[in-house]
Amino acid sequence: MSAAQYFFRRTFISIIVFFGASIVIFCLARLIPGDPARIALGPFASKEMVEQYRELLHLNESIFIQYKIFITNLFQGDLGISTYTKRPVLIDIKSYFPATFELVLMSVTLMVLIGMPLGILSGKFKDTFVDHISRVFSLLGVVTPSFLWAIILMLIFAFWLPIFPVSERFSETLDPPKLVTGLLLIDSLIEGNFHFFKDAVAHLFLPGLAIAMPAIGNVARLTRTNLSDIYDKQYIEFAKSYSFSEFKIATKYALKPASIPTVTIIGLDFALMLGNAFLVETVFVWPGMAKYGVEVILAKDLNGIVATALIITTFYLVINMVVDFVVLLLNPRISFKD
Amino acid sequence: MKISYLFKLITILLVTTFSINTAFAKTILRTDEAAIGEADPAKATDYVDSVLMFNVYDALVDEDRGGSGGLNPLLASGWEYTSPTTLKITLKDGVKFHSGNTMDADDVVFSYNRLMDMGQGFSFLFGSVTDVKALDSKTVEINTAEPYAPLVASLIRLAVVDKDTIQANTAAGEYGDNGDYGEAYLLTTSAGTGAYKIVEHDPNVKTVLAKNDNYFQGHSAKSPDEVIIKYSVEAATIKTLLVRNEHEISSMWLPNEVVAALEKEPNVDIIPIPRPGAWMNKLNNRKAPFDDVHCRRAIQLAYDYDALEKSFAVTDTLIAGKKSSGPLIPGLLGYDANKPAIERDIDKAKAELAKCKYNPSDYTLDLAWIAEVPYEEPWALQLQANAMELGFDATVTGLPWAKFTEQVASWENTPHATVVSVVANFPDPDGLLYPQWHSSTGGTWMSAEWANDPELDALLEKGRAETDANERIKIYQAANQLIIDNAITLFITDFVGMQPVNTAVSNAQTAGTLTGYGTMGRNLSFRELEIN
Repeated sequence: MSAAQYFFRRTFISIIVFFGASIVIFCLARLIPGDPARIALGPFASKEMVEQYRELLHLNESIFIQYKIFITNLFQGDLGISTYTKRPVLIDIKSYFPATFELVLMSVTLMVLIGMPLGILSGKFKDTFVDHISRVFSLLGVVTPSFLWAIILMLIFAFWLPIFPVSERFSETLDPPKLVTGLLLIDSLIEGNFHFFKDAVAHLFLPGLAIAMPAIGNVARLTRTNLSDIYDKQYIEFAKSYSFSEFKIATKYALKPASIPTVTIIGLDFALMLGNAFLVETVFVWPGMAKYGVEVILAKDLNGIVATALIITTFYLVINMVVDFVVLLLNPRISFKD
Repeated sequence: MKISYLFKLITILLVTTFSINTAFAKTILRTDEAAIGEADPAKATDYVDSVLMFNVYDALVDEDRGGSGGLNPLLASGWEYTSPTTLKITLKDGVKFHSGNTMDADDVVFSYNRLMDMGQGFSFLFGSVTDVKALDSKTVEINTAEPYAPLVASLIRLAVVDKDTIQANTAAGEYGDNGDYGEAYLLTTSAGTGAYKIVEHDPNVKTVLAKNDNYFQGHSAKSPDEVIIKYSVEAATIKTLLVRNEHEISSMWLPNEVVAALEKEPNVDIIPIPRPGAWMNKLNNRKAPFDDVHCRRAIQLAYDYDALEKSFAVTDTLIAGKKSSGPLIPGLLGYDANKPAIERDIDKAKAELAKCKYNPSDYTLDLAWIAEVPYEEPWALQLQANAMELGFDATVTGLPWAKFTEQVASWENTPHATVVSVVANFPDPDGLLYPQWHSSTGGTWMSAEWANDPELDALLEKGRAETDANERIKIYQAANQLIIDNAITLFITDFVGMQPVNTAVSNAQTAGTLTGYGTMGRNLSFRELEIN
């Protein structure tokens, strides 16, 4: 099977998974107790108004008809109106997704920049003081939930040491760059506005680190385990006997195979963070999609729930495909047939 | 020593790299509220919606500060009843909308029609109005089906919108010739006459308001140039921001421990704000044993109001609740600040119980609190303990709001007692008393008592028809006493909000501005605040 055939096969399977997920999400959203129309219009709205609103939302139709309407509108790029924000859901997603995506990108960057070196150091200096420190740090990272890291980091770097900003994506005194991608770091660079870039990085750092901390621990532990296994292999001994440099052995012969499981975990964590950023977004007043996703559930905003869940589903599917391709590149023993 | 130097060096490097210049060219006031913020005045129902409404839009009338329930003309220059069912209102000259258009009678009529056609927000206040028409550009006539005295007070909730601007920005929609009535347009902007205009609005994130320099009432000299309202900010974040001088006014919904911690900060003051609302335990008046007035009186006299008030203590000196003296709360016409609070008297309670036709040991009381509001639970537990003192058995249940509103539709399914809060939407007692205690209104979350008291019905109907303010005060004070005497509802406490305010705005002017109103959201008037 060629790479192109593999790609089309995976895409086809992903589309089927997407539709399956859409049916499950669509039905589950309707199991949440409470009348979406009543919640949207508030306790003072008359029964007639609530009934009229239910008609507008097609809530009196059977679930099959409702799904048909939803899927037809989806193909026309219409995700419906959010009963929570009273705006088209597409506008909500466009507003909130870039903020979460940028935050998660920062987290993944920190996860790779901190987690992998930590794991490499730990694996290379196995059972030394460096390894012990690294393992304690990794364990703390894994067992402490992100929202607690958010509070701890805020307490240290914003309350006791007022170094980092603690709310929103940029300072209120600055004018944002013209939005091209919605990612402020990129948009400010496009505009050549380095002052804003620095400000946006400062705003991203604490929430990004809070989300990344458990993943940093994961990546470090996994890299350490894999690396120490690889270092026990005969071919590493063989390379050492040929007097290859430590750096060459580490980068060329040890790290590449050791990073295959790590890449898979990074990919899955990347997708996971998108949905799990809720509490961190709440703590840092981050105008993101994860926070929106939870709030639409609480408000039983059916269109908002389904749209948010489908965005995250799509992200999972895409990331899974990308990870599989990267693993193929890293490990030539795996073929497209596998 | 070396580690200490290294730590300092890292700190300095981080500060110089990431610290943000906070020297503002314009004065900014930052505050926060619970999401979501509704910018369209025809859809506003909640606290922050009201704050936006009162700062961005004006109504025909305004509330008199001081908690008297009095009214002043705002966009109106005056009003008179030409018959018991016809109110004639004259408008001020030269009031401009944010667009520069001049406000006139057509705008008032359009605003009324828009509110009623959309049928959301505070439209329920105008159910008795039959029509609103412009007699000329400066005169509006409002007709009601029957004499309706609260009409003028309820006009505080009719925000006047700019007809021409909205019509110029109307998209296709469900309201016939009126398209979407400018719904999409007002999602992100404003079309009012108010002291501030919306420059940015995301209902789930924040609203940015800019000063309307042409506001007809003017602003205080140091009022903020810009106001940023952030939505649903975590308490820990608010605390950090306030201490760092990056937030000026917090919402009143912070946990008690955070408020107590903020009180110790030198740059934060806590301003207690009597709010137009109350916590109540609504007794089901139709369900045995509370269909007997003596059983209700017994439980009313047994409820430990001292313990309830203590449960609101933030610190030794700050208490976020005040013992109630009945349904008339501060800010409403007829409220008497000198009226003694309802007190516990267990001996009298037992004496009342002896007159009750039911044997308490035969009944298990179903006491509920709203599951989404966990701090209500202790007040239900307190009632359980006091009911058990009288010999009743009682269970306490956290009832999800949706479930409660379903159950309350029939008196058989309505719990024996349910803790809820009510807030005044406009400064007239009718708005709070009639929907809760008139026998025709049973079956809503507000009327979980299923009250059925002919004497009270007569008083509430008389209060609705009487236009003389002094007579109305007497009527509502009599209704207040009757509700207590017949123990229709148990009153937990009146609301007292704890508003943490940065010392940059915490001055006598601010404290005065934030207090003394009987309408939800009216107190936070940004144009009257002074920021240093």
